[in-house]
Amino acid sequence: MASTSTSTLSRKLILKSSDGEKFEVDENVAMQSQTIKHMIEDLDDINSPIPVSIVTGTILSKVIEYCKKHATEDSDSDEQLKQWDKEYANNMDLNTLYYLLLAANYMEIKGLLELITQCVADMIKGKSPEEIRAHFNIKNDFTPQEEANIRNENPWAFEN
Amino acid sequence: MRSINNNTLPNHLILEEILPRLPVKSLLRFKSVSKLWLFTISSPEFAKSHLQFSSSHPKFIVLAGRNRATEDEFYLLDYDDNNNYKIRYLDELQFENWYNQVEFFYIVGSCNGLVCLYVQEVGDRDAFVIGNPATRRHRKIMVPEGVKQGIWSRSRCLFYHESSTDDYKILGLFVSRFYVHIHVYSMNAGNWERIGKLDKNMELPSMDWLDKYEWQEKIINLKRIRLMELKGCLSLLCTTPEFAKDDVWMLKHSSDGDSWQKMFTINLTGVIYYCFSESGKCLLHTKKELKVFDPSRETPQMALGGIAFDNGDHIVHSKGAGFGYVSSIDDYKIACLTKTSNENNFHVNELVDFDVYMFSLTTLKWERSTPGLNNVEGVAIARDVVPVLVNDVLYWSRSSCCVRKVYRLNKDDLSWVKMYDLNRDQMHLLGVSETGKWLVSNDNLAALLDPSKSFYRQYQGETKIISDVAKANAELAALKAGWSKLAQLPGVEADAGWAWWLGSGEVVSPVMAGGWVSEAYGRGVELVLSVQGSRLGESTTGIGVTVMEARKISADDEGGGWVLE
Repeated sequence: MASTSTSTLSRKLILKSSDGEKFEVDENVAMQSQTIKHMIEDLDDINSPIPVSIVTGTILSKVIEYCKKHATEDSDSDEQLKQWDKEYANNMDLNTLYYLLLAANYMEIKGLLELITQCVADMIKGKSPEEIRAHFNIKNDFTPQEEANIRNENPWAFEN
Repeated sequence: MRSINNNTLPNHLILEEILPRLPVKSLLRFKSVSKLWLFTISSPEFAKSHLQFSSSHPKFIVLAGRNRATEDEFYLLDYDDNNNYKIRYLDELQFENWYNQVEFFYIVGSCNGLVCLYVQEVGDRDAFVIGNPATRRHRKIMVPEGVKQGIWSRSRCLFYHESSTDDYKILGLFVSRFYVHIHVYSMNAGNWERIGKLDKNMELPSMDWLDKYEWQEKIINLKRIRLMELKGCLSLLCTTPEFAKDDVWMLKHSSDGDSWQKMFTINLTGVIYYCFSESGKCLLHTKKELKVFDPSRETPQMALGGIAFDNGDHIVHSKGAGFGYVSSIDDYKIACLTKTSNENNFHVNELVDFDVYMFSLTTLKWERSTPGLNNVEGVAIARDVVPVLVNDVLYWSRSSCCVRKVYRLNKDDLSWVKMYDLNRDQMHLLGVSETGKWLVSNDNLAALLDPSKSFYRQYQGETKIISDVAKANAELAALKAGWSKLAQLPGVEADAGWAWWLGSGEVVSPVMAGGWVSEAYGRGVELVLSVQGSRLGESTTGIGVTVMEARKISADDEGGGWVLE
């Protein structure tokens, strides 16, 4: 079993994206993903590339960027790290954010998932129901009367 | 392999990961997005999930202006991990129609984000209002029929979440001519249940006082009833009319049902002050001595009680005491502020020359701990949960009529380190949270402070009264490290008085500081406490403890509190 190997510090893993791109990363970087952690445990040969099947190379590189930053522990203070997180998320366009969210969810990277979900939540919290529907491609399945009833329950929530 | 359309996410990510992070106002709006969203947001599971997320941002409600009945106002003190704070008028607590013609109200308590008020209205029966500030919904619960109204105090009600039944309950004591009636309101059942009565005229309990909900008789002087939670149990504190003696009862859970057990009797003669530690140990403070015992295992006579100064001094006057567990040294400490003398020549109002004595329950020794400090006014031990934070004795000192200094004990060399000056006489330490933050207030200022991080570096000297919010903000920027969360309560001049915990995550423990009454309710790891103090030196209440219902509010017991239907 590979996981019984003694030298764990400097081991390298190869991650392979859905479009075939390969990334060599330190094990401690990759292990922030619970999914990969579990895969490694079942893996006979850690030198073979680990498939990250639903994540494209573009997104995977961003995921790895996050994991690398969070793998080095004491270099930054909490505040610096938070600031870094903020800038990291702010630099993403919406589409990238969504793919990142899917990747973080699939790869089970808790911190990244929290970061992105909070970022999306902040983006949509001020929107109107109509904007939300457009945003997420949701069909309005209420009758006008039903919708009006819901609005009337908490009219203050619709004020600015 | 899955793929996604442009700009769409799988529903489970949106509904389970993103929505719980939204503010309630957004959620109420988003109920009209679609039927699936409506169903999701309305579900109890979602409420619990949302509570979990919002619990990471605990908030205080501060009730200000309570000395002027017409200007009771709520403020919300909100803070986050980065020491950003916000204080604002809490208009969300203005539940629709609840306060018309209110003569007065009190906050009974808060739990999982719900707030319970007791309201006395003109021309109507008294009522409780359980409200959710976030949704602005409330339920009004009239007091049980036939009970006498108007005579009510905070100490006779308790609002709590019963995790075993996932129910919110109000326990109230109502007074009639001969009895105190005990009623419990269940939010789930939607009605009051009378669970017993206490006979006002009986002075001592009899041993057959054990029938589950039939309280045959009891002690009770009505002015001395108080409810609290002790070690996760709901407790009834009461005392004999002559304040001389009290019995302590606890409800034990077993497979055969619950039963009452008498725990101990306290002789209250000469008791100045008492308190319980978080672990349930009881401290009795008399004029001559301090007694500490574990009521669940020991009687006061058998316990460590009867501790007196063994350095030859007599305690002739004592102004305050604190009691707490200090995990870093695994020891219980009593801090006591006393003037010691071999002669009774002190003056009660004298502020000078009080010494802080510390007693260790490990060594059973007193040590004098006040080198270089004069005019010590009060003492408190903050609770100690997070080991990295300061968990030493904290005490208050006053060197002139308008400057109060706070010192902490440096546990390495036992020296006293000045932490900061408080510039107003009326500053109250309202509570200390489990993570070590302090909530303080005075007439018109409220502040949440983290003494472990910022007390040393800041704000020395000058008296500064911050007079408006804008200015306060500017000051705050300048005073970064120190009073970083000092804020003006807009327009408030009167006593800010009381603070309640809203939300969850930390327990705010009551702290006796300088004899001020402080009271706080919390929800968190283990228990909710409501402890009453009074100015030390005055004769205060004797106690009895009766535990009515064992329960524990733990971090796992998410109450699902935010939607009140």
